[in-house]
Amino acid sequence: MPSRNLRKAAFLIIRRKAAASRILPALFAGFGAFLGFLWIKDSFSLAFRAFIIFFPYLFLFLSQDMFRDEIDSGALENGIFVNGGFRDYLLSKILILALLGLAVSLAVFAVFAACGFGFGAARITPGHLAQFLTGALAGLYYLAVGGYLSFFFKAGSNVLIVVIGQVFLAIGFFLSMAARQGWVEALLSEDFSGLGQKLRFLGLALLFPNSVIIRRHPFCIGGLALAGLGLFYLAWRRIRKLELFRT
Amino acid sequence: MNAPAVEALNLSKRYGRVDALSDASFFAPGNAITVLLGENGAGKTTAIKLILGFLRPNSGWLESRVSRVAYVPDRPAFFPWLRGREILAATSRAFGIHPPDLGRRVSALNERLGFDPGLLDRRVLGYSLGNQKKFSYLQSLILSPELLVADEPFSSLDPAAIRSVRSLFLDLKREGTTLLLSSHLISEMERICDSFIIIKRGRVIVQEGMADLCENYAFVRLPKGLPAPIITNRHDASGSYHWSRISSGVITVLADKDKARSLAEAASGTGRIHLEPPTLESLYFFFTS
Repeated sequence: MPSRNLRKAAFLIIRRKAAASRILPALFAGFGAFLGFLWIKDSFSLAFRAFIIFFPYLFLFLSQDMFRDEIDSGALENGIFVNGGFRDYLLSKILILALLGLAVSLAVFAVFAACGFGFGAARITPGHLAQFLTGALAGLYYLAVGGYLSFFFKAGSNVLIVVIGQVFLAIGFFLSMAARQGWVEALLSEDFSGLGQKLRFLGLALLFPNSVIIRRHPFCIGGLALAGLGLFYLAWRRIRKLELFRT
Repeated sequence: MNAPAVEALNLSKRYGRVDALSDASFFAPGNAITVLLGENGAGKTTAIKLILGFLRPNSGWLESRVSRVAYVPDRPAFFPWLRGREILAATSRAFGIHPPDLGRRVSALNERLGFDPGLLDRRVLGYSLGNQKKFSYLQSLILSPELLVADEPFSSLDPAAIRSVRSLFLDLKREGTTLLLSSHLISEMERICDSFIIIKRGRVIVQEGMADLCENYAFVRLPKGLPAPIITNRHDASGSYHWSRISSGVITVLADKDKARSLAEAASGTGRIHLEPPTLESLYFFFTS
């Protein structure tokens, strides 16, 4: 367990990194503008739905440059991180990014709730809250995937791999939809009666975690949570074994 | 020598099939300056990284009897998005230093290191290499470390800064800090070190105290053609060590002054043979040749 002092130092370093980033503010501003556009041009309800479906990507973008960039930069071979402190810093980083993602998402959710209530556009129901919580789970899963990939891929390519992979899978899915008629019907009707159907939807959820926000099937939510925990555990193991070889 | 602040016993580290450090046993005496010497790739940096916990040994035992350790690397690296002041703040948080103390320590150290405080508001990666090194000292010394480990402590520094750092090392030692330095600048190390460790191809060849060697030992070079005395690297009955090397037929012996004198007298038929006091440089070449 990282010491309290080191967690404080890690929080300062990560906060400054987020503030110094050019990509993250641009992404947040773009996402905000997109939601605003939907609200103005269509409806509050559509903007809110877009937020709920897409906000898990925030966690994915937070995972860019998560590990390998910092390990290879040599910056961890610093006096701050002696006596294995670099491992505690990297473990703290997972926790801090998860909390940062949750805090930002919750803040936007609260803004939506306040606006919906204030303008009388729509009321946030327990169903919406459940969707938000499932979205947060999908976001944490994205953080686990992006974080684990960042052990192998640098400079944000971990995020690109996930996004481009999803795009190609989505294209493949739509092109082969005719051959999957039965499964698409099951998906639309939320009829996951057999284990085979459940596993297929779980597979879809692992590739497109946002899908569990729309179809909140307990089997898939549990599977996604387990997969996320498994990836966090693998990241934890890699960090515990990590050594700093700088040539 | 004082009791060890850091001690390693049979320490080994492999990078794949390469043995970076093999069965290395050494220690850094407390309140003293110990210098690690060796060729490029000898294993000095690996030894330092093991002590600092950046690497894990494959085998062996390592004990540190100090809690506050500071590190100045050969090429300091910092997070590119952080300004000097932010790195100092992160360092002080990591080690639980309170901000009022921090400001006072930074001001005192800036003056001592000749570091421009105006640079603290700029990103450290934008500093010159020399200023990055000075900043690395600043970052390390705000901790008031019990052990300061520095890899190539004078690299990138200008002559004035080298002089400041040298006197800083001596002051730190007086204040009770243990220093472990790794450097190729033997002449600089000779002026400050209390003991030295020579590593060659991952093996510790020798660890000795400078004062003892300089006061009690001498080199004697026996010319070609003399029957080689039976001298090996060993402890003799008096409890002192002697060492010998043969190069191009010339036998060089490092022994306590009495033994060196008797060897010189035995060989004096061929001419006068001088005893040479050891220097860190002559010791380095003697042990690594």
